[in-house]
Amino acid sequence: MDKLIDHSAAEARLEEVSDAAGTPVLKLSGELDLSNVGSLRAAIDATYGRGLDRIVFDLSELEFMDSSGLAMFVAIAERIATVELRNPRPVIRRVIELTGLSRVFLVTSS
Amino acid sequence: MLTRAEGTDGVEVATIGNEGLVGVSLSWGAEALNPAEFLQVQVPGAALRMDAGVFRSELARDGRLAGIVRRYAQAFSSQLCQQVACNALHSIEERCARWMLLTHDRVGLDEFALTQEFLAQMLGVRRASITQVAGVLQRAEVISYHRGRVTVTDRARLEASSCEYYRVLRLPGAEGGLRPTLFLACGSFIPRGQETQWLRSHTAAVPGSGNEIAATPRCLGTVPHRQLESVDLEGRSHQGARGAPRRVGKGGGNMLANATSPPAAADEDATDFPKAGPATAVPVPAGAIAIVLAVGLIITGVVTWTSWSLNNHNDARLLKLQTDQAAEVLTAAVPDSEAPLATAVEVASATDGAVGAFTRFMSPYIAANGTFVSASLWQMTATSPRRVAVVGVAPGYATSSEAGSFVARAFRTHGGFVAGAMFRGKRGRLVFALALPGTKGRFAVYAEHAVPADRRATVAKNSAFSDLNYAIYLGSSKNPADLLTTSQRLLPLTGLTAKVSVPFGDTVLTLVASPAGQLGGTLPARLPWIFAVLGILITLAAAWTTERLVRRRRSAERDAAEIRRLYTELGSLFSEQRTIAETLQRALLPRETPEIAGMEVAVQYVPGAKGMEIGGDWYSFIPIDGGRFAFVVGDVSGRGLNAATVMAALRFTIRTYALEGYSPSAILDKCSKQLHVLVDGHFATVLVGVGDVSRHEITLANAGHFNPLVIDGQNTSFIETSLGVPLGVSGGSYESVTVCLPPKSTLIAFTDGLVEHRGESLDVGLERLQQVAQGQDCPLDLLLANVISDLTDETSEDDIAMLGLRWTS
Repeated sequence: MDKLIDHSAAEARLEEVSDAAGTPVLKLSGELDLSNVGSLRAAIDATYGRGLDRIVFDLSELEFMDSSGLAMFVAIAERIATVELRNPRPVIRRVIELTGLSRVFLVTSS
Repeated sequence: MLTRAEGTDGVEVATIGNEGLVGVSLSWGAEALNPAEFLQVQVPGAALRMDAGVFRSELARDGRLAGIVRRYAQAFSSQLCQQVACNALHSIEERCARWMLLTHDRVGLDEFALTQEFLAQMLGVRRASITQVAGVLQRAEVISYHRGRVTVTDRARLEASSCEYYRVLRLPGAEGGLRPTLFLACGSFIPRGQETQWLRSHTAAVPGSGNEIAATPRCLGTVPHRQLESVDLEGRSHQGARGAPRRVGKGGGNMLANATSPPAAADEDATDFPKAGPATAVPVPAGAIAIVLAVGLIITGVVTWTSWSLNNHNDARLLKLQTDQAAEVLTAAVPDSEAPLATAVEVASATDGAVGAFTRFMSPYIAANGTFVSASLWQMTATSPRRVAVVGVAPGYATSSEAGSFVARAFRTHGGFVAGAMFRGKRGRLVFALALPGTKGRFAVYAEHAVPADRRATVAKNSAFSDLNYAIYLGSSKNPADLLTTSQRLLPLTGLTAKVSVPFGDTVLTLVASPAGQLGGTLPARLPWIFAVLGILITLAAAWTTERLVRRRRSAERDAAEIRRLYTELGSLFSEQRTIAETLQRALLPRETPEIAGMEVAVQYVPGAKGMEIGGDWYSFIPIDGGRFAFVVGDVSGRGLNAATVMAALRFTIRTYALEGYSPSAILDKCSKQLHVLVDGHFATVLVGVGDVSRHEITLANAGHFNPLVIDGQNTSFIETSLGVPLGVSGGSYESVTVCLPPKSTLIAFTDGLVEHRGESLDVGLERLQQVAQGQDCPLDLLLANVISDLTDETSEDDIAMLGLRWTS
């Protein structure tokens, strides 16, 4: 998937990659905040909105995420049974922990 | 094709033009249009329609039309997808440009009707945004806009302004064969009679429609022509009625039953795009140009006339001078004739009329180029002169009596010198006779001087006559018979002339002259022309400059007014938004906190640097009864009015539950059922506490929020709560934790803006908070203010809500 967001205040990239096991992974990089979360959410919903029971995000390149970014993942988790957040940076991992959302997502590191 | 959306008149999801057909869903078996969707004619034009039954059977036959329709159906569905993605991802400017390009393609004309109101509706955005974008496009001279009609002036740059979806969306049927026109499948599909407002019999020719109708049957191949009928689609710009959309057709099962006419422009002037561009908008300043032209031409005329008359005056003066000079030369030439004759008379007197002496003396004057052709010596007798001798040819006069009477006249004349002229055919002679009264022997000399055969003389260069055309007459009249010689073929001389008479014997010679060239030189003569041409050129240049200057000034004035208007509009938009935000903030977050005995309460709210939108942070302090109290600090994810609405709802709900005496965990449990992230689009982290002043006891429940900080003298620590998921997330369950706080201790609850910084772990912020709060021995409100100023700066993005409690004993 090409660069989806290019005219918002913050820059975020979403690309579809595969991990070692061949599982499709959505790799998010850049910064995710109120200014671009709407368009990113639309892009994810349009492509992956229906019929999945598991979705994997690679957050290793995501540098910043505010509460609206968190809300996006929460909303995805409301529809898809397992939302795996792989390798979040400590900053973001801490946000997830402090908001009690560790039990909502499957936070993994490899 | 539009889809209904709450609070709007419908948002455009697809554009169908002369590449496609309305009712493509028939091809996949649909009986009716989805009630949420409806069709609207944007630009008037012609179309063809056919009965749905015929259409279906043609599809079933799987002929050429079926193939075309299948391709178009595929293109149509990808257009729907792309348009949705474009609306979600692209800027208004890109979408605006894309819309105009799609319409431009389908209309086939550079100009089409479009109001901002309509475009805003199509794109599902505010009209003000369209005004701005269209203003930008117009100032860049990509489009021009006048009285509700858009003209695409720079197609290439419009494409450059558009998003990449335009390149995908453009004319999907172009290579598919269904190119020439839109056709409608109707009948039971578009019920006859119900669509009359929308589809009318094609009576008047619509520009560009003829070819489309003629071309279509060819493309449709096997479809019988009589199954196709032409209809006229009445576009939005042709709507006479104004106001609410006209809805046509109500029957079920009708695809076009939902077709509506779009709302007509409420006020064409008010919906015009901002005018810009001096080239089109600023009128020609005709008055100013006329004044400049008039003044310039008058000055040119006066200067030219003055120069012309000065030149004429000068020419006349110079002609007079030259003519006088020529006359002087002529006067000086007369003694040349007279002097030898006088000497000859004296010689004759001295020699007593000796023929030999006379002949010897006169011979040199008769030579080939001599002064005279004939000279003769005469002696006066008692009655008449008698010829004594002749030198040269015989005297030209026919008879000697004529010559004798001419000589006799010399004896009678004072001064003794007479002159005359005689002509025989073309040949002519000047004749002279000179007698010297009182000399011995009464002798006289008669001489003849040849005049050029045609009386025309060549003029020697650098002579006094070289600049003149002249004629010399014998006597004082300009009688052609008296003409002696001239430089001209045709007489008399015309134009500017001068006339001078000089004495010649007993008569005069009259010299008439006119300038042969420009006596004063060529420059003075050309000067009037030069002045005229230069004057006209300068006048034209002045008029052009005036026009430019006036236009530029008017255009600058107009631009300035436009900029002022935009700023005013922008200012009012901002202040409107700021007012809303401030009003809400005041209503939801009172600065005055209720007082409660034995406890100091303080609050702080600091809006972040992220613009005007209201945040979702809040605090509450609620006295319950008898020293019992509740407090709340929460944060709704995101910003804006929507987040604030969620915040307000939570704030009042929690307050109500707290006053009813529910425990913190019960309050959160109840609230978690009222908010859902999928419905409301937000979640909320909330810390709820219920305490008792006298017992120094506090019970806390936490939905994803920060633990509160307790300050006890030099010691600071965060109270460990049982952390539940934020409100709005499914599956939350909450537990209360009760703690006892030491006397005079302080509790601070806060939202993430206080401790969160980009690129830094929350732990760092929390640790810094602990350090800053430590050992601050000051009133509680000052403590909160100090903490905020120590932990944040003006670039801090997020809002901060903070609540402090301090036991006074």
